[in-house]
Amino acid sequence: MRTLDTSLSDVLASPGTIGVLLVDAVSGLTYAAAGDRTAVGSGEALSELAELVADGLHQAGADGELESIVVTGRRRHHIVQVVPRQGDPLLLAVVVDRERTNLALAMRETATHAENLLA
Amino acid sequence: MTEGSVPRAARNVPALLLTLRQEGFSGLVTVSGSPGGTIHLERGLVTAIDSPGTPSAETLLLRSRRISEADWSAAATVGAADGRLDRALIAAGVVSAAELEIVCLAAAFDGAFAMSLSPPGSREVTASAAAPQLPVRPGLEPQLLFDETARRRALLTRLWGPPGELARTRFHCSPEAGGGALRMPRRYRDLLAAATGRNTPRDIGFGLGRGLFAVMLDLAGMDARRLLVPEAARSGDAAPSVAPRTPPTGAPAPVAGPLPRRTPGRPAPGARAATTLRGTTLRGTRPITLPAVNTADEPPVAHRTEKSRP
Repeated sequence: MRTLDTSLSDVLASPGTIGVLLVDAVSGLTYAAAGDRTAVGSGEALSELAELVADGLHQAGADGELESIVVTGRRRHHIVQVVPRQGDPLLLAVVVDRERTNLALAMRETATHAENLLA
Repeated sequence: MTEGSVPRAARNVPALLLTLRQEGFSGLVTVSGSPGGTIHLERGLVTAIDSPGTPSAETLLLRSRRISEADWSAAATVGAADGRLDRALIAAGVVSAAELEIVCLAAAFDGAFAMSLSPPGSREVTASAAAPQLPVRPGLEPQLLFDETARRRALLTRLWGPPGELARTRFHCSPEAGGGALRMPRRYRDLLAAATGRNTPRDIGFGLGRGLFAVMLDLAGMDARRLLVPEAARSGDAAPSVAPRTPPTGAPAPVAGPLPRRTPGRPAPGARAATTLRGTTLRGTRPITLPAVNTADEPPVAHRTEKSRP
């Protein structure tokens, strides 16, 4: 099993997690996936979303790089965490079930997973 | 055809790869062309694609400074013993297994994309058990590569225009991008510094240690934001020239009588000035004032300019 698949399986093991995707933030190439892939969306859509948000923030006067995007829904929450690295950044996209997840905890866990992903 | 070559009669490269996938073929598919490339197969799965059109996994790791040259050389020495450079790099702790998987995957998809930018030439199939230096394991289904390449081409076509044309376009910084007042991602700043009007996206990718597609996508986005200007739109010429557009100021020396002739054993008139011009053209930063003897004779200047470009 690839290292990336193992890492994403660990992310998926968190309670309430439905699907996980690891995507190149620039090219939109999907490097690995686990769980319900359709619930997370396509790699291209995620990279375009991150680009759109980052561009909007820069135009609005924000400094620095994007860290994460959180979209809350009635049934599911989407957490897109930027994974900084030497080179083009990655996106770790996680979809969690609202009924079974504490959003703040899920965000914290996703950030921790992102930190450890390439270590 | 080399020893061990297997004759194939597929309609195109994708059809050939699908046939080889069904056969569980292990070896190389070498495609000539510009840029062309080599596809490594293991049991019909693609384990690596090397193309001169985009940086390889090794170049991505070294040029982006993820790995130092010294660490690479040390790991290469260890990895040469069993032919597993990837294991040696991970064991030496210079790159994580996850990072290496990502870089190898990115290089393979970029190789396929680079090869799609021009019509393929002849192809040669060679049976071989030798694995590439940094393989994708397990290999990639060929259909996955075709789908991703088609997506990339469609995206660039939607954002900018024909991908093949974008791959040949050289960009300059626009006046709006100057001054550094605009907020933008760091990678945009790196591209602005590399956009000198002399580098193609491929050249920039090799310089920065980034994949061809990511560079082209960023350049297309920066062009749309008016941070860059395509070279063709600026000059209107296919071949960029560093010669001044207007004659030099001051009264030109009268060119009367026949053109200067070279006498064997003696330097030709203006020869010293011409040497200076050639050196300046290579560096290409300072404006050039042509010697008076050449002002009425433009073709030699244009000729030197073309010859001096790689």
